[in-house]
Amino acid sequence: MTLYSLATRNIRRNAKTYLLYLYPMVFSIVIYFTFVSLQYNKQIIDSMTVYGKLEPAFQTASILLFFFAAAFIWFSNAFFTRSRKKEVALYSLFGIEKKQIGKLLFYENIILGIASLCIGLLLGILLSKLFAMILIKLMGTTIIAKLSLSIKAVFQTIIGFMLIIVFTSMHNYRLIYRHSLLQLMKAEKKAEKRPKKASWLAALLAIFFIGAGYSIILQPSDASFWNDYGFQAIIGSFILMLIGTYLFVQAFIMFILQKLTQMKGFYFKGINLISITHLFYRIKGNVLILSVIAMLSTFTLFALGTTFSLYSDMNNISKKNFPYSIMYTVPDAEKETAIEKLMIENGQEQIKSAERIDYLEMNGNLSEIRRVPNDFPIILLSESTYQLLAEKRGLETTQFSENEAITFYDGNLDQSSDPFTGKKVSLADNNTVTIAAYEDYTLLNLDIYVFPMVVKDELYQQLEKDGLSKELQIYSLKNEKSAKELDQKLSELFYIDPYADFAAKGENIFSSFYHNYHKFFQVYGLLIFISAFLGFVFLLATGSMLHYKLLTEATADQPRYQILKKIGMSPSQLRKSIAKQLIFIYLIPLIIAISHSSIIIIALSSFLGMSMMNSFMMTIGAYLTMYLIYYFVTLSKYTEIVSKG
Amino acid sequence: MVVLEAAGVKKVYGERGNVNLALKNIDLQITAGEFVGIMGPSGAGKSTLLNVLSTIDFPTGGYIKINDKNIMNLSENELARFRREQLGFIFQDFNLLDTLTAKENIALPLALSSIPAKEIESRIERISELLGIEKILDQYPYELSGGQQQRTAAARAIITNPSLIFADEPTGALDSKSAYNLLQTLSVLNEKENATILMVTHDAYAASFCKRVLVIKDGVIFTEIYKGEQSRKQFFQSIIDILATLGGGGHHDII
Repeated sequence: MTLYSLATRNIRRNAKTYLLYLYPMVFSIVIYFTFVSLQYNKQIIDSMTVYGKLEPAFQTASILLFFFAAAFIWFSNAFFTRSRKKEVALYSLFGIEKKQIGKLLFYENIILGIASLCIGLLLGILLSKLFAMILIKLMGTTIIAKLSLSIKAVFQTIIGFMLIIVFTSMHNYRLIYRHSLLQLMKAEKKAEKRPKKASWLAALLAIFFIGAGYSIILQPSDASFWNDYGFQAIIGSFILMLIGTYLFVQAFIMFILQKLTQMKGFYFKGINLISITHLFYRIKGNVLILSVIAMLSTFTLFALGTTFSLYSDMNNISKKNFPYSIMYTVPDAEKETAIEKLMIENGQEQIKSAERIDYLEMNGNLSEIRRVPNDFPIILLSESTYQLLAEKRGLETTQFSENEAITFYDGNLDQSSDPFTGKKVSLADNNTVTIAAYEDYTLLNLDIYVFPMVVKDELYQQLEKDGLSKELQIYSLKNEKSAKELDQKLSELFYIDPYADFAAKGENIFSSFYHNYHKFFQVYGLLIFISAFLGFVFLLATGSMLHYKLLTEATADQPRYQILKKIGMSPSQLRKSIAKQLIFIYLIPLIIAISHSSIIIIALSSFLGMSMMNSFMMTIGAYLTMYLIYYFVTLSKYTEIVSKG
Repeated sequence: MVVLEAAGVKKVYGERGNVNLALKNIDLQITAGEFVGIMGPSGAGKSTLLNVLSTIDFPTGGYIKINDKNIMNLSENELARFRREQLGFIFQDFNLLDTLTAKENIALPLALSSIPAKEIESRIERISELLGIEKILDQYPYELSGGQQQRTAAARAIITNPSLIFADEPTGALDSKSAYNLLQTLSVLNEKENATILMVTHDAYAASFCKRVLVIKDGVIFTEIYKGEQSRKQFFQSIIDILATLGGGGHHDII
């Protein structure tokens, strides 16, 4: 019998064990391939007007996925080889050379790897259409997804995973050399020792680290250090939470359990004695995996909660940033008639209001502002225009005096802070104005790439000779969300390339609500898709890691439960005890993750000045449901294994 | 008072075509305060009998009553409770939980029955003193010698004041000195605590500590020997003599 035939025969005979290894491999490949083929899907790229800006998000996510897949396969491989150590030892006892055993394991892994690559790619091709449809739906575009195969995605997947497979195969080849025969024989019978005394110092540190991380991130958003050390502070607080989480699982929980064992009245009551001592071992063996799940879940809950609430808040955000349906600098007469025709095509009855205002375009020195380039074009509006526009929208206006100016919300993420008041702007003719107030609304649509400022009527007239006097036409339409045709035709009229960036647009203003609204849809639809996708993968993968890890421990636990049964632990007590232990284990990462992500979301929502709680609660709800399914599956399997025999 | 009563107990293993009659027709009575040994060659059905009597396994025929309660009519949960409250077990391989300290192991059956912690502590204190294991209570099984482990197991068996203690080859994994100590302990429990003990063994020396020895062969009770007024040495001799007569069957594992 050749080694090759022994390897194939092995795989056929022990199908069940091998399947447990095959599933995670196929899963990783499917997920990765699906994601990468979406990334290269021409249809999606073409339909996305904003793709260029989001490519990094896609790129990062796919790299993240790859490393995650590698770790997942590595873990499954370790799990798989551990369950086969005895078999390997037997080969050795029967006199097969080490080199041959190594080769056998090597071939096996290669065969399994190639098989799962084929299956994974096939499933991936089918699934990628489904996911493409979901993505397109989320982005609010109306194209029909075709089943298209991206050669680039296929190659990238094959090369990436062949690397992983060869690497794990080599690792398996070394298995027989890494362990002595005795170690291999006893592989599954390692005596567990009671964890060392949990140190109260480490438990205290866990709370301290997590608390410090929280308090940094919960600093009020107008605290001055955010401006100077914002990025470092966020990274720092995440690192603190990360260390805190590990210590929390490793020391704090142990400490609590230990305190429980000292409360004899509680400890010696019913199944607590068994449940608590077993928890010690279960948690000790899974500190790393529980911490990883906690952190990945934090990420998922946070990313999903954020994108989801932005997505559902899209109407408000769009309305806030783009108060007018159409806004453009009045062009020459020929174009004007064309525009009028388009407006009539769109329907006169759709026009809610129309306004024509004067503005003055000029250059000045914005160096104190620091939020825009120093020579950014400024447009000046007179106080009376300002009052007219604000009044129409029912907004408050601010009184100001000569040589002062008013500025507006400019899309600043942190809406509570005022970046302008008190700063000086110099205009033509040696006129310098001081910014007297910052309104937390925008007077015009935001995507106009000029700096709008309101000055007194007298100053406005005085400056008219130094700037370009222009007129701005403003429309509010009823059908602003669906006026696709109008938007398209207007853009064609105003720009040769409607999606060119600011520099190519010339100095005339054109802005449409429709365009911006749908750009939002694409951006957040895509972000939601990526975070949901990653979140789902993380949950599935870490969940099954924990699942299988616990099940191996169940096998090791089986004799103990046999003893308990003989002593007189009833089946219902046994079930209850296991349910208690497992719910505790499953709840640890979940509670940590909910706590972490709530804090981050609270900080973020106060920073953005919007309420995210509803969407976040829904995210938690969905996550909890999937997570509980895992718990119940593990519980029933665990009980089954333990009660056997 | 009769603690255990078994009549016509039968146990069949295997299915159609490949039937193995492990117990043929066993009648047995044990009264309170007895120390009964069950002996017999390998394959005679000793362990099967013990398993069946101790509710770990179910007989195919006949009935078993413990304290006048027919154990065949109990549900899984009731059986567990019954085992916990009425029976004590000592196994050849100790069957201590390696995840618990000696003390926690002993406390286990009481905890499962929801006895108050104070009561548990005081009972453990008394029993461990009796068995001479009070110094090792906080140690884990892997830190203990075989003899210490088995005495811990004995403490766990006796702690609930059971009606009946089953001991399955309790000395099987012990060296001779530890075995002697353990058997002494069992005798003490029998005499001082008035514990009723049923012990399965294939070792005539161990059996000589009993007050009555049942010898089974091929699934039936072959004979019964009473210690009566004999000394332990004399009783040992009479057991050996009986076992010698069994030899014809081709099983010589005792002699």
